[in-house]
Amino acid sequence: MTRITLRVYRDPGQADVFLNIKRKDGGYDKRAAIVDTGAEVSLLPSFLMNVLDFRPSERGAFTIEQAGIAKQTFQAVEAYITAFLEDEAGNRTNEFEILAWFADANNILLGFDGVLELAVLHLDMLNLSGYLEFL
Amino acid sequence: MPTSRIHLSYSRDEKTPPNIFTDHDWVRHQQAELLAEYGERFIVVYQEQVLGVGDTYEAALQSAESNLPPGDAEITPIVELLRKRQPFLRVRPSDIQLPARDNG
Repeated sequence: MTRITLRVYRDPGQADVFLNIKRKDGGYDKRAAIVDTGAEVSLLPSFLMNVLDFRPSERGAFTIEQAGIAKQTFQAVEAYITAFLEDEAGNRTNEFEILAWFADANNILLGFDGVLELAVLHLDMLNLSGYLEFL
Repeated sequence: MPTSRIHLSYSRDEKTPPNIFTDHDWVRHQQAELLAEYGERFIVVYQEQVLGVGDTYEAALQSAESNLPPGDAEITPIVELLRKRQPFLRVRPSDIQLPARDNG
């Protein structure tokens, strides 16, 4: 069992976790992601498509209409990335493949598909602490 | 050919440098001030200092290259895209029917 400590913030409230994502150059990009229990699929900023190694899914590029974001449709590219989670104490998960959408965003949103569905999420906003625990 | 001192690509076994966590915390806590100063742009942050700013990821890194701390040691910054935060991300653009007032 691996427990990854979250970084929890207030005003505005947010719980982040650090990812190591495989890059095109063979190394890993270290980047925070917002834990998003409202996201079925993880979302990545499209500017990272130049940096990260990814494997396009069969769906490829598509437009999402009425995705729940006010007065917007947006384009996305569906792809698989390879990543593992890490916290400040050095705890790490195994490496796994995550289905993600690249879109015009500024943060990574970590969703259920391939990640949160595999974990126990604990969030304590009163004490600004939390973790994701993977079996 | 000069090699960049900006270290962004890590090996599988390389532990995350502590400044990456603390710089991330700093950006989160200073988000409003950073947005006011730099607008919706990319910033390169190292040890709670903004080293580079740009309209693209690449431009921000280029800006940071000319503003590195003295010495020849590698630095391990984070690159963030500043954007105004929306309080709700998932609201459909529909009109809302207000419930009728009960005057009884």
